[in-house]
Amino acid sequence: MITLDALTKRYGSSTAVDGLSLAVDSGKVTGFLGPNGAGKSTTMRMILGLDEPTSGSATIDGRRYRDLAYPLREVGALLDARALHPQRSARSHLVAMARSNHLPLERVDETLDRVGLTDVARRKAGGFSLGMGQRLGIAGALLGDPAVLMFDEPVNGLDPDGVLWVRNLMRSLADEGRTVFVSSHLMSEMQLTADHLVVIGRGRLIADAPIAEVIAGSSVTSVRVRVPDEHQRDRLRRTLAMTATSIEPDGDDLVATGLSVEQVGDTAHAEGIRLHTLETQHASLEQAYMELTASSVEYVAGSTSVPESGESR
Amino acid sequence: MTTTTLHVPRPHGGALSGAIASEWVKLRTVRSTLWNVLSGIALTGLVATQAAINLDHEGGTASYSEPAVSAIQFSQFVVAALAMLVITSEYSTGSIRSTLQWTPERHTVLAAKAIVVAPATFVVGIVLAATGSLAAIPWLDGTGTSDLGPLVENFLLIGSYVMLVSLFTLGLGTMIRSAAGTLTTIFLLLLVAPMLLVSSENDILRGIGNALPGGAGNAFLTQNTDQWGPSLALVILVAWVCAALLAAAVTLRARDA
Repeated sequence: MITLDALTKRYGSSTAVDGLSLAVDSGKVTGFLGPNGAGKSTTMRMILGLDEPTSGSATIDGRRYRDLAYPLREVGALLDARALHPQRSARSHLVAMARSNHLPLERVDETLDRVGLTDVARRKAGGFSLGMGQRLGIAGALLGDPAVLMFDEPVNGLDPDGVLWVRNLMRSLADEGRTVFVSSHLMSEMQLTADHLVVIGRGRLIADAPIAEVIAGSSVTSVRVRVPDEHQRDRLRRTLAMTATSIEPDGDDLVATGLSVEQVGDTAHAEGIRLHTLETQHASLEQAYMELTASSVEYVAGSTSVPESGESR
Repeated sequence: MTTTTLHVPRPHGGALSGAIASEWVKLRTVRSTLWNVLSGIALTGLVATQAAINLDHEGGTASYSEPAVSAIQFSQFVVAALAMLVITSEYSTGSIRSTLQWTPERHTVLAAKAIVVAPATFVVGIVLAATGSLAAIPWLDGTGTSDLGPLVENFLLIGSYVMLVSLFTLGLGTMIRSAAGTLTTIFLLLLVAPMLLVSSENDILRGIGNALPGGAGNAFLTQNTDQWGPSLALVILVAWVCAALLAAAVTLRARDA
């Protein structure tokens, strides 16, 4: 379990992470979302002891990362797949890594095999494609068979096969009872992979809830009702308009937001209106996310510079 | 964790021994290490040849290892570059973040690097001493002696000197982080500043020159007694090394990766 307690990081006058408190539980895939510059990478770097918090703490099962004697046996992390010497072979990189934590060298070959890099293990890591580099980074995270795993944008640069592979890997790691904490920009991917979501914006916690709850909480979640009779449809529309956030006609249908499917059904019944369809339309995670973070997007399109990735430091 | 437990046996040994083993793997698995050693050998051979020809011209007797001592003044920078790359390449490639992720205790990381760099550069120093001596033999027909005493002494002096300069460079490189900045700084402190100051007419400036790592190092390497004896020169050089490594430890601990 990863625990953040009022975790704060300031760089001069700017605050990258602002009093973040949360717990990332084991046995689940927890998605870590937020716009560019929200503080995701800074948070992950503080969990790994790479950056020192200005105040507050980040602990893994109650201990600071820097206090772990053999950290790779407890926490595996892929933060930046490029954080390696490009002239060194993939295997040598993992051997150096294994040596540092007294891991047996068989683990190196097992892990290379698991990520599918056995054939290129002796090639220089600098010549790897983005996807291969990403696999090598994942191999590093898995090397010590840790109970806690963190991945920063793991599907970056992977082909569709690779994306599917990462998705299944995350799921199986969580199903094995491990803590899996994954940041991503790809909402559709998170919707398929994550059980729980942590959303931050401008360094602050915006949401920390099961994914279903985040989606259900979106105002974009709507009720679609089909009324075959035009007069009845108009009447239902006027009645619902009194309580709904919005209501829009769509052919024979009405689409209402801010109302539950029960409320719409009961209203129709009370009015004696004949219905053909009555269903909830869930927002996508993307819509729910956009709504949550709308006020905290640091870089809005149209402004002079839009960093592609990497948080402000 | 009730899982497909993979066979990862419990660790034997501490974080420092792991970090040392890791640093050793890293040092020998980059091509630049080999190039450094090879170019150090080539440079030492060339300069020692030149020095031997001059020495023979002067007459008298000299150990075959004398030209190697002269050559080290130049090839020390190639060895220092090897030590420097142990840290600066990690900053330029970003792999320092990996290193600190594997070994989060920063003093352990620096200690491991120093413990690997010291014997490695000592051995490289001995190899360069041998190279320089071998290159000199054909040119020292009348003047050369193969007395074991001075030969062994010069070999050990070169090995120790190169090792201390390398550790000093490792410390500076950790603080400065960039290769260009580190090389410039060691050039200034080991060669340029001492050379200018030592030739000064002013006693104080000359004293400063002799107290800089280059001045003290040279007095130790050549067993020169102009300003202070070689023993005191060694103490000064070691003090510089300790200061650089301590300052490196402080900055590495304080800085975010």
